[in-house]
Amino acid sequence: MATEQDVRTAVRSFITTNIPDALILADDAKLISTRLMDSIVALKLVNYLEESFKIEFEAHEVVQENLDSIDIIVSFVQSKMK
Amino acid sequence: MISHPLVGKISSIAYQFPDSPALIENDGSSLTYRELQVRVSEIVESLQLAGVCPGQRVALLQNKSCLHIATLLAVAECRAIIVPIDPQAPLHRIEYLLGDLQPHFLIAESKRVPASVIESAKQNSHFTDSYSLLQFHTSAIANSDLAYILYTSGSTGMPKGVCISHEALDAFVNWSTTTVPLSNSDRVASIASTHFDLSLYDIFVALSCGAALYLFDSEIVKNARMMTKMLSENKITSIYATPSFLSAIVLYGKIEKYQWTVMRQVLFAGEVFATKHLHALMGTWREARYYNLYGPTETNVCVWYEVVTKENERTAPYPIGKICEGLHFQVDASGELLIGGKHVASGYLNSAELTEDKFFTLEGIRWFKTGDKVTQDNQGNLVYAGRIDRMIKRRGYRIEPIEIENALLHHSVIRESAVTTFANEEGEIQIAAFIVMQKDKSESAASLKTFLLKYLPDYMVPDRIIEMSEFPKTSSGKTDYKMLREKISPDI
Repeated sequence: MATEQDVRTAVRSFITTNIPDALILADDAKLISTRLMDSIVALKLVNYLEESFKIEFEAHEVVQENLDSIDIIVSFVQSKMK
Repeated sequence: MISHPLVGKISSIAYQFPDSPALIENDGSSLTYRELQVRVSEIVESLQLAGVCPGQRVALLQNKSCLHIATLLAVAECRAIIVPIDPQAPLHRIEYLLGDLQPHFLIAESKRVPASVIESAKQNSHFTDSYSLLQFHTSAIANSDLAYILYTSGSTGMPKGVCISHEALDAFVNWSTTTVPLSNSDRVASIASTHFDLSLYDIFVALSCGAALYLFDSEIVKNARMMTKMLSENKITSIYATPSFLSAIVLYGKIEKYQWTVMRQVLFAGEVFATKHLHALMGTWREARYYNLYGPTETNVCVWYEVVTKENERTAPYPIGKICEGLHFQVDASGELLIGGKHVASGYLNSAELTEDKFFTLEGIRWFKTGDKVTQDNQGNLVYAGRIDRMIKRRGYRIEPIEIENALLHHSVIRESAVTTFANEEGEIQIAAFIVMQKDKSESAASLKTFLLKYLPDYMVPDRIIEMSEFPKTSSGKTDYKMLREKISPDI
């Protein structure tokens, strides 16, 4: 099973590819509330996480509270893998 | 008082189908046609008591809800001018719009009314618990023939109000109810916010046909996963949305998880629909008829095309099609499309010069120069071929780059700004802002984006902000946008 570090590396890799303006972003920096990540990129990220870690987001889980920073995303993905 | 013709149609539906659902919100709260009629009558009474008169401008700063739609219909019934304003817009923008509009009345959710607006209101009185009605003393002359003012991105660097007459609104509704009709058995998804012209079909066509209108607010609309679930669960039969919204349903909605047997009509407008995603949608919503509708806010829908065949090998976008019955078109020497007839707006609010530049009347027919280039295919269909100017069409929104450039210049560290577009790996249009900062100053792209949200709606915030030491110039000394475009690619 993927470790926390695996998830963090994958999330960082997605973000640096899809949000070039966030290259030097801290893991606790806000992504959605600052508008660095827009709704379409957030949906792409959800698809990517689902494929990478064989998890499934319920429709109501695709929200800012679960996707607003690298730390938050990592912890949410880990909770889904349990 | 003689009823407003469109509100009158909705009233007659209330007699015919009193207990049918008219409006349904995300959370399930709803109004039947009888309840809607009662609500509209109550609000009309309140508005008249407050002094709302025909031809006065009534700004509506409300989230999409049953109450908002009822209020909007009540304003129409008073023959006042409906001006929906996005309550989620930045306060700077709301203040600008209200300053430009000089409304006679503002009906707003109290918490979204900027303090400066309250200051400038000469009187105010409570409307309901959560809404306030502010009255202004405005000396401007009433425009008795206008039904709506819709604000759209402006080439002067600030938003501009498109003035839509009763005649234009009626003509559009009549065309729609003939060509893409709805019935009492339809369940219609309202995706667009009411400050966009797509909503006119949802509100006036759906309700005058007795359909059930499902109101989805802007937060849910952004979540394609949730939207797909709600479209399925509510057994939606008709939807009018942008290709970007429908593509997101295909790409991110898990559309294959659901049973789709009742979707019968899909209308789309605002931008080119990538054929790959359109075909994927057609493969899933198999029973539906698909219509590519074309028309800027200044004309509403004026050209239309029914996509009837699924040509899997086709990659070129479908045509925008043929002119709506009763309208006229011309393509001038530069390839620009000109539209004439009853759907055409009166002009721009407070912008005589721009109105004169873009509109003209010839032999009693009002014409609008769209700024869109078209060609014709061998069946005589019009085919969209880009813009004659810098206007950006992205995710169904029209954006004047100068608005973004101006907003960037509000920041003290930015000396120059230039906005252009590029395509990402999926071929989607993205916005890039190039900036030159003041000497020895710096600011991160992230903090500049946050800054821009004070002035611009989120769909106008650039995807990339790129710092340069200076801009490339053309031989005449102007910013070389072509060179800037070449500097950006998905690989950067």
